[in-house]
Amino acid sequence: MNNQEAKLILEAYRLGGQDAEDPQFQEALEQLKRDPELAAWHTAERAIETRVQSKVRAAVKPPAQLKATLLAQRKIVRPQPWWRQPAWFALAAAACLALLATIWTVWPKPRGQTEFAQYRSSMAGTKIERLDLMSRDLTEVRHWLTQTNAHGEFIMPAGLTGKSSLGCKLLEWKGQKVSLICFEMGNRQVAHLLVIDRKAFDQPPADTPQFAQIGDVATLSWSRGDKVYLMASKHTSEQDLRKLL
Amino acid sequence: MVNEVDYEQAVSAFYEGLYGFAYSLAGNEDDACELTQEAFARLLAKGSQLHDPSKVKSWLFTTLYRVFLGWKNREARLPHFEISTVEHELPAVTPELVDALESDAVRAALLAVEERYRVPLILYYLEEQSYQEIANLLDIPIGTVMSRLSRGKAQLREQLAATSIGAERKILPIEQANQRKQSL
Repeated sequence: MNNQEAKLILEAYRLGGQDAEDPQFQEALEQLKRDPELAAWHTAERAIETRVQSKVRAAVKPPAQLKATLLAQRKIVRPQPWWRQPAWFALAAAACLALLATIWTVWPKPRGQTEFAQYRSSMAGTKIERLDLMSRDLTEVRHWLTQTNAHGEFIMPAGLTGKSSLGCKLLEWKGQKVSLICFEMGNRQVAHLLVIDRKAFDQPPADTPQFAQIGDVATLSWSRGDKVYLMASKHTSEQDLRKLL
Repeated sequence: MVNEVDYEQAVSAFYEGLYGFAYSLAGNEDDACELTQEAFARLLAKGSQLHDPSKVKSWLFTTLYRVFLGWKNREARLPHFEISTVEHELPAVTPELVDALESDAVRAALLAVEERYRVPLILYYLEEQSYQEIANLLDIPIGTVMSRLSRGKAQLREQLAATSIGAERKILPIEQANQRKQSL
């Protein structure tokens, strides 16, 4: 082993001395004893590395609230994770997210749009990695949304009653919370309901649901009580979507 | 399922290290937090399958890494570097120079290190993981771990040295800096 090889190996040698007995380092450590130049290099290296390690540790500190968030999430994480549920459920969830991506792609851009249309574009453009809660139990979804001060008390369209939920995600638009709830419609069809406070808009949509076809996504939007609702489903006709109201 | 006491212990013991690992992968605070949360969420959901408490730490790190790979849809292995291809002369920095650096500058220097080198480097500095543990976690050969640690240290020191020269000198990512050198 020459000094260059020894240096490479010694760079992986931990500062705390945990590797002193590791056979992988023995030859390099022996060479340290024989070669004063290598020993001097190693001593200087350790002096710098000790400081670099200390600086790196100080620089990569988690945010103050992270630990509390982690401890709190045990209250909302369900014991039956989605990846252990039947395959159709995972597929439906994937379809749910895929639809959002599609909406984002085909939805008109904000220029010249009404505030409500901007809201739709903004929401659909949100990067979705996963749902916050995966659950088929709508009561559980409502409970989770209420706990997060979102819209747990939303009015369920009659046509969705009895449909199995897939879960929900909390989004945000201009500081206003938006609740996204996904429903399994059968035949791998998924319907999405987005709920936001009516006060978010100067001109909220009418109380009568208005249909809009955007690409292959059918949408209905309406106001009811103090909430504004947006329903969307891919590869669905206006007639079929209205059956969900 | 992991009971509440176990979960709390796991959070207290490992969340800082996991966050550091996630930060080294994602390169930003938001994604690092989400990765950390996801790893612990999966511990809650799948903890019952862990019969050996001593495996919780490695399980969490492995899970977080897999979640990250899933995010990025990275199926291909990172390039392999042979030991013989690594240069061993580290850029000159002094202990005094390092002492004078602020956390922001160190963080910026770390993020300027290429991800493939930054990840093992963070595991080495932050978690004091052995080359063997890093190799197992990242699923790469031991020789590759050693070469990446060496290159990672070299890149980090280049960045730290550049930072110490003065605030007017902008820190560039390694590839960008190399491109600039070539164009001169």
